[in-house]
This record gives sequence, structure tokens and C-alpha cells, in this order.
Amino acid sequence: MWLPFLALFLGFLAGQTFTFTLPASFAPYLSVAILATLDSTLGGVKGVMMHKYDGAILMSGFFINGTLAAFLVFMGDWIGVDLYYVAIFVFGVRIFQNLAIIRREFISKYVANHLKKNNSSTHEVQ
Amino acid sequence: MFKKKWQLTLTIAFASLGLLLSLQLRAHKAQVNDLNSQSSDTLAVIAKNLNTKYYQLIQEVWDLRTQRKLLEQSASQNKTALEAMAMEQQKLNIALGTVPVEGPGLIITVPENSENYFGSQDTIDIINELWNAGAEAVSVNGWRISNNTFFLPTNELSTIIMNDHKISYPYVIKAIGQPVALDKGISIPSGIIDNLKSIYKIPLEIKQVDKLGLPAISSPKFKYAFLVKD
Repeated sequence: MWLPFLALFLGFLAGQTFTFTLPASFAPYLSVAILATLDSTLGGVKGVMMHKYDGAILMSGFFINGTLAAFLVFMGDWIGVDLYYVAIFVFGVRIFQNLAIIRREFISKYVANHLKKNNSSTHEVQ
Repeated sequence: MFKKKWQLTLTIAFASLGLLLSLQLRAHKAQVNDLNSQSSDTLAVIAKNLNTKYYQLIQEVWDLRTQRKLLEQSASQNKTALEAMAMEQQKLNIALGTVPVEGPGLIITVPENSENYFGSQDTIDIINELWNAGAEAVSVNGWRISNNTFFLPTNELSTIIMNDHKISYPYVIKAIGQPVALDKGISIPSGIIDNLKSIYKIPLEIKQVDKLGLPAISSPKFKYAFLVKD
């Protein structure tokens, strides 16, 4: 259960120990890619919570979404359309949706069960 | 390790996310420091500071150049002073006899003769005459004349004491200087050489040479005499 979070930490450490730094001009594209991958990861967590998890969907979503998001923003800069804000908006909304679903699932699974044990009259929270 | 099937892929996803976050953190830092992302106000301040710094550095370069020039001047002065001192020391060493010297000069030989007495006073007279004639360094029987050389007579007629050494015939007096001037200086009529030759019948030999070498004496040691301090 804690393995993914440990992996997050280790990945961060690995990035910090690398000596190379991406050029400053890459920062906007990388930020969009991070939003896309964060969305995919939260989607994966949501899938686990809802017992609908599919590893292939997560992996493809993670890498393809990330790459495509960065690439689209790059293309947008190229043709003069500021897709950066669009990507932030879309992925931001999706991230918050995913978070909301994860929160509900978490509460309904663990907190509600815990409360039920103590007080059988409590209703399941939706 | 991966008990449930979702763990592997989710772990990979999280690790990649961590890596990306970390890279972004750095890229963002670089972007914040990048001049392209600064506001024009900040850029103006930076430019102004750099300008000030530029003029300060130019001023510093000039100051340092002036300083270098002064140092070079004083260094060359020191060098000149040092050279002068070295030459002075060399001269004093030659005068004191602590360094071997060579040059043209005169050799006066007094060969063995049993009939006529040649003593310490005669040696001193010849040496005095040589100094007077412009000799720059003198030696007797291979001993250099220095500031504390002395000659004393002995009981025997054939020996002289020179600086605690007993020397005897043939006496060889070597002097460095202009050979002709030395020769003329000591050979003046009724001078010491003339008197020795004509009155005392001592068979002196005087020879002008182009090059002769005189040895050095050991450096004098002073125990009681010290320089007067100002």
C-alpha cells in the first residue's frame, strides 16, 4: 500500500541526484506534462479504490498523456495558440474530480466501515 | 513484493511522477533565475547595477595599473641599489683580501744571498712603496697582505715573521696594478729599490707580468669592534 508513495519519494530523490538540469525554456512543457501524469496517477489510485484498476490504461495514460500534453503545448506555442492555459484548465479540473472521487471512496470504504463497527445506526456517507 | 497486480504499474507511475516533479523543480528554479523571465523593472535595476559595477571595475583597473607602475619603479630602484651594494661589497672584499684576485702586475724576487741582510723593514718599505705606486693587492711569499698583516724581525738573519709564519728566501713580492706605473713608482732614484740595489747590493729582480693571481685570506673576525649605532 505504501510502496507507490515510497516510489514517489525515491523518484524525487533520483531527480535531485542527477546533475543535469533541463533548460529553463522547457519548464512550461514539463509543468503541463506533470499535470497530465498527475491526473493519470490519481486516475490509477481511483481505479484501485473502485476495484476497476487496469495497469495498461494507467501506463498508456501516464506516458502518452504526458508526452502529448507537453507536445501540444509546444505545438500551440509554435502556431501562436496559447494551449498552455487550456491544458492547465483541463487537467486541473480532472485532477480535482479524481481527488473528489478518491476522497468519497476512501470515506465510504474505511471511515464508514469504522463508524459502522462502533455505531450501527450511522448511514453510509455519499 | 507485488502482492496485488495494481502495485507494479502504480509504483512505476508514482516513481516517474516523482522524477518529473524533481526535474520540474529544478527547471523552474532555473527559469526564475533566467533573465528572460524577469520583469523590465528588475532588468533595468540589474542593468544599472552592472553599469555601476563596470565603472567601478574600470576604476579599479586604473588604480591597480598605477600601483603596478609604482611597484615596478621601486623594484627597479631596489635592484639598482642591490647591484651597487654588491659591487661595493666586492670592492671591499678585494681591499680586505678575502677574495682571490688576478690581474697584471709586478713580481719582485729577492733571491738567497748570504752576504747581505734583507729584513722585515725592507719588506715593509717595498710594500709601502708599492701601495704608494698604486698597487691594488699585494702578497708576500704567497700570503696576502691584509688589514692586520705584520712583519717582525727574527734572531736569524735569513727569516722574517709574517703573521705568525716564518718566511725565508727567496722572498717573492707580488703586486697587482698597472705594471709600468708600479715599476716606475718603486724604481725612482734613491727610492727603496734603488737604495737596496746600489747601497746594500741586494740582487733584486723586478718583472712586469700581464697576469698574476693572489690568494685570499680568511674573513676577519671581530669580537670587540662593533659598528657605531646612530
